[in-house]
Amino acid sequence: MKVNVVLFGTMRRYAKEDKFQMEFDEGARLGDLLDRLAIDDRVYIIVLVNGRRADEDTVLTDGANVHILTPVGGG
Amino acid sequence: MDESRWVGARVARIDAEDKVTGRLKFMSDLSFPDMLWGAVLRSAYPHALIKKIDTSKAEAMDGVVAVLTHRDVPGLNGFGIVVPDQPVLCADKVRYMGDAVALVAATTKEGAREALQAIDVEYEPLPVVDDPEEAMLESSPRVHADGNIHHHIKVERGDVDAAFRDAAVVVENTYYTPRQMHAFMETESGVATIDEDGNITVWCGSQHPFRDQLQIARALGMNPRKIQVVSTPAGGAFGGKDEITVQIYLALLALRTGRPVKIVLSREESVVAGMKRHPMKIRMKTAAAADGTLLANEVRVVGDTGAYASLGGPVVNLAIEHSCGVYRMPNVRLEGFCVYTNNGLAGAFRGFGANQVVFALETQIDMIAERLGMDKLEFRRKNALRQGDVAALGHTMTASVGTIATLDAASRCEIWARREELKAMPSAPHKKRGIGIATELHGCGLGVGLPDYGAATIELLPGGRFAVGVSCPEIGQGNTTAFAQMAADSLGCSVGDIVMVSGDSRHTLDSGTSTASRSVYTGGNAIRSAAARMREILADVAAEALGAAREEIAFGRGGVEVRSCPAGAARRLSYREIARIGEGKGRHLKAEGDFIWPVADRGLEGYFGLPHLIYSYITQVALVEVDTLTGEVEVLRAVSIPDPGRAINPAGIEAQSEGGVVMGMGYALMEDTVIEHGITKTPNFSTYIIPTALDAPEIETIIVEEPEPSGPFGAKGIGEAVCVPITPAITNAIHDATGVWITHIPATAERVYMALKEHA
Repeated sequence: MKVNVVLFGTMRRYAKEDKFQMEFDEGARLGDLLDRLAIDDRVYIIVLVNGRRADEDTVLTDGANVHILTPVGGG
Repeated sequence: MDESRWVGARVARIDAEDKVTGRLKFMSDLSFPDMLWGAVLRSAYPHALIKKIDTSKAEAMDGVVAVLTHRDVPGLNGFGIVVPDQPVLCADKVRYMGDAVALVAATTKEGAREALQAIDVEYEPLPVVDDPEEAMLESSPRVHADGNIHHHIKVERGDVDAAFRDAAVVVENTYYTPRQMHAFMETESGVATIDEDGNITVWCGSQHPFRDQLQIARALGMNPRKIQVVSTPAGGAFGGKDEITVQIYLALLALRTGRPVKIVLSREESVVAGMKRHPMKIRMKTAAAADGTLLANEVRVVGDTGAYASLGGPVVNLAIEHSCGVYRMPNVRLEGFCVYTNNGLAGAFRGFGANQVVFALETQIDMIAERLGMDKLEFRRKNALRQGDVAALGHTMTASVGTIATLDAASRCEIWARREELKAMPSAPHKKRGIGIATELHGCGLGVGLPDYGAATIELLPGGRFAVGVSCPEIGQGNTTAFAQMAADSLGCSVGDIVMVSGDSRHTLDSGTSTASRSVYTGGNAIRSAAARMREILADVAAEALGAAREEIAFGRGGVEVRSCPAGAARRLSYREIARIGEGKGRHLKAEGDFIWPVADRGLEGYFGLPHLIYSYITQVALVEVDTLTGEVEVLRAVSIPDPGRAINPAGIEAQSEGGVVMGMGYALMEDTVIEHGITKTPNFSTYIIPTALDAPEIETIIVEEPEPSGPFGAKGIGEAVCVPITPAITNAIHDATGVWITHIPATAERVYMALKEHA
């Protein structure tokens, strides 16, 4: 299955592009995706799967939209 | 289901009664059985090495339950929204007077404070870095090992030098802006509790519970799921509670003692340790052609971020974005520096970098208009960006643009239309009157490269009311009332049937911050998404119960009815009845919705957080009277003309507008946190002067609506813009009255008097 990944802000350092697709076997979890991107700091990041906060145990589905970001805010 | 019964109505705030009767408990009002009091030992020097920390005497004191130092921070000893460069508890160095060195938990508040005195810290003082431009020199002592320039941004478009060469008018000035204090009524305060499984709840007014949760988890080395953060209600924030304040201290003390712990900062401690608005030095050179067309703007901004980064980088980025304001500016050279010093701490504050540069720019605009003999309002109208134009940073203005509409309204407002007449009637012969105008656009949301997302939940409760959850905290701005209005219209019920759940990391989904003029737009769109799903669920249940087709179900008046049914027939179910049916079937009637912001068509290589796609617009006009003998300035009247897209609650916008005008007036005339050699000289309201009700002028708010198609019911954000152009409107009015240009705010009586003397 294919998932769509978007990296924001400082997370863009983990890939060449900030928008790309990744392929996984059925049943893969968000933790597998973070492993493959070699994202080591997993506390101070926010990952959205289809617009909702998700954690490493979240099961990925085909066509899922994954947004990975650090929680920078302000105005 | 888009009829607007509640949206657009002057709805009383849903939290008003509890607030005015004192029934509402803020975090500083909370108390738990067996609760301890926490206190924070702050640095004794603005810049020093820590040689030794001895807590033994404090630990031995009666009533002292715990004393913590850097050795007791289990996880990362740092916090900070962008880079965690601020120690939770300093280990080897302090960088400002508010730096935390140790924590105490004791059975009484007084006992905790006394124990702080008994902690023995040996320091080796270092040279103090208190001038940002000096701090930028290689030879300057370093606040952080990597150097004192935390962030640098440079943007160039067009041919600036040629534009200056060919211009008919070039004005160049240096502007200075003060270190404004948020002056929220509730200082940084809260309570942490811990249960027998080690789960921690932190009750602390702030602006993003989910980010607080992550920052606490990072410092405690704990799974974020074991930490709940409750951020609503906050007794005011204005950006000053965007960063971590006391949350990590509370959690550390609760973790160590196993008991509830409460911290309430005194005003003095809040002033010394807390965030401020970045003081900026702004060099601005602006050019126009003889016909009044703006040609170029060259801007250099140096922002003093104090000891730690927090959101200093993004603030300077937004100063750069807003430095060309609402204007078509084909040639720009914009440069910003965010610099570390030992001067307190600067970070997020309502306006977020725009206040400083808009003061500078709007003064430049008046100067150029005057040099060309043009009407100041018409000059602005001539140069204002229109929808479809390319803005200074190169992105296209595709969303709604309200400048012209707000300027049109300004041209008709009484103090502008009758300005010559009003000017001619000062209250005393030694007083002079003037009228000033200023305008701005203000980026809503987080900008390109930062994901801006929201999520909402809607649940039908057993009595037929709906619980609507949005995490963006209620910090006094009234967003929960706007959410309830939008939810009521989306669900076809009354505002009274909406129960808002806000700012709680356990009971809401993450919707990001209550900052950046973003919460109504974000939360509203998430609510609309959740409501659409909720209506599908309700339609299913009702269709089955009424024996009707799903498409036949219509929503409104607190329930559903079958569309084809003649009026008066009994094919109607109230939400209370649907709740009962759902309960009978064991069905949990709950829906979630989500939303991701659209962004501008172009970012800036190497930077994120700018530019923006959606802006709110505002023009403000001020009538002032200047006492030429003392230099004292009185603002007599102000007109505030915001374009919020669609006004969800006009009464709420008026309240924001009035508060914003007074805050921007304090910035123009009175407020500055004076720090000398790293020491705060204005630690309380006896020396830090803010406007009171007696200083507030007569304020008229004229709402101009330019609906934003991507916004919920057409709304965009307005929380920040309302406090921005009023500052240069006032200083431009001082010029109109006296002929003196104000380039250094606050325009205190002393400063105006000296300028008048020089001018004479």
